[in-house]
Amino acid sequence: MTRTTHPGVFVLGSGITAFGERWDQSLRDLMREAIATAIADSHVEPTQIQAIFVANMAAGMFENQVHLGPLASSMVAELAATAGNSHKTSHFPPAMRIEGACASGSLALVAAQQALQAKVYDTVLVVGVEKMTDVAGELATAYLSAAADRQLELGSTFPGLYAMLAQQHMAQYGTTREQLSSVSVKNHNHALDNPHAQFHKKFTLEQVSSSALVADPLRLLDCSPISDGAAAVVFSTRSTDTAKLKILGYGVGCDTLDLAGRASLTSLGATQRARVQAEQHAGRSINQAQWVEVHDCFTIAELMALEDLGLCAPGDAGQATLEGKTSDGAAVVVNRSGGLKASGHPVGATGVKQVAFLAQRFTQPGALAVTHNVGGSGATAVVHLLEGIVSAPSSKKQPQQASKERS
Amino acid sequence: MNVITPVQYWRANKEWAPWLGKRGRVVASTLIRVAEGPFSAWAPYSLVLVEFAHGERREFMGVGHDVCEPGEKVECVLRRLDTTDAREVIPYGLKVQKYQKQSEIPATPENPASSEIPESPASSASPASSESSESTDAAASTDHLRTR
Repeated sequence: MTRTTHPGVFVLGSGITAFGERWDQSLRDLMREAIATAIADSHVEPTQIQAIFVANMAAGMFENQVHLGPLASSMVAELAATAGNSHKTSHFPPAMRIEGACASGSLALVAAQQALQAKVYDTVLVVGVEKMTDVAGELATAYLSAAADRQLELGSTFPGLYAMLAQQHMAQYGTTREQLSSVSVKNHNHALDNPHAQFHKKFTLEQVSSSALVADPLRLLDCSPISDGAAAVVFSTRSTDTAKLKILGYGVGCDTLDLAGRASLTSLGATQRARVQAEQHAGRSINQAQWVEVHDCFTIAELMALEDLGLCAPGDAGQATLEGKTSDGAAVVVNRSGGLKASGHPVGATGVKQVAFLAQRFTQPGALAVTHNVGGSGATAVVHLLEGIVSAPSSKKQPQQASKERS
Repeated sequence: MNVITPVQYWRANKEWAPWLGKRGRVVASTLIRVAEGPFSAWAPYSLVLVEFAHGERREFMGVGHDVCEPGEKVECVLRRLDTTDAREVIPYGLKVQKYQKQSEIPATPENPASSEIPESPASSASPASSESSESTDAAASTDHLRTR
């Protein structure tokens, strides 16, 4: 992919629900909360939302509910009616659902950006949602396994697939149990001040290393949880004084569904391909990033992500993490939200939440942040490069108003 | 939740014959202790990525509770996948079991010292297993769709 001239895409607003076992909240409750929060935060009117991109992996299995596009559209219509002090509105933005397993969220962000950059729309909403805890954990595991190759990986689980990658990484690079545990410890520490995080609990290296084995060598505290949650962002090609981030570029990489078809078992080719595309698209290097939100569905996944993104040499990410070089306060902070491990992983929401979290917390004008979202065991990977922009929280200018003023 | 539906089973079983008796070497493995749905009955079981002659790779469940480690030799066999006792299709499928004759395993990049051998005919598939609960009588045929 070569870099092309295209309209800039700005994150005007964001909303994240609390992640966790939200037994008192339905799929639609979670969607509604995230959508309403993001639109309110963006200071755009609901009627200015021209299209909606819904990210979801498995509501059809978890909740027997598909066709989420119109559901989201109806929610924006409700907000438009309320804003207009009316019971009815005709503002039902066109909406579509995007699915890419755990990368659904980032793929929906990409689809939204492409629509904006093609100048089909100028302001859109992206919402990611997953309601996973209405079924037993065993059933949830089975549903998630649908993202693996059901013909060639029979009997596999996601912990099992990542366990094989961990085993290979440990054998090739000498990655240690303690280094894997340090990822979990760090991310749980980072989640302590994230109000949306599923867990607000510290763990020690010893606690992680002695937790129950799930699939050798991965243990319970190496694994991200099953979560309910939703996140939403408002994107626009028209910046406002309340804009939080500018999206500089993105990349989408793919690989075989099954591990057996991969060129490597110690790296994810999809991430490497997505990284190259994203850097070319943005004209910036990921090495300049200060905050990086990566897909730590398992501790080994974070280490591989740092290496595949070029932030660490192959085999070095474990020691860097153990030495605190990716912790809050370091030059490169990895998973400041707590990542999937501690913040939670409602799969369809995760990619959207990564960007929404940065919109809320990454307040460094001109600085670079990166998100990395993976589907399956690495069959899909999406990388975004984002830039912090000057924000004036007191301003409530509308996108169109701001655009007119600037012109 | 079924491992496989009857029609999927009918399609899949036609592809098993070429694999039965194939021998290869474990490249990566894990022991799955928490499994999904019907596979829970087998846990803990090995999940292995096996390399065969000519570099062909595929993932399999291991037979029973065998712990398969990288570098070990395995061969493909037909084993039961589910433990359902309903009067439904009994799902069988490909698994691997440990193979003892070291010299007959094809070389792999991870194990360059081994010598390559011709692929074994399907008829050589060994029905022997440490799993008394996994029926082996279906190994003689490739059409194993049956009910009870």
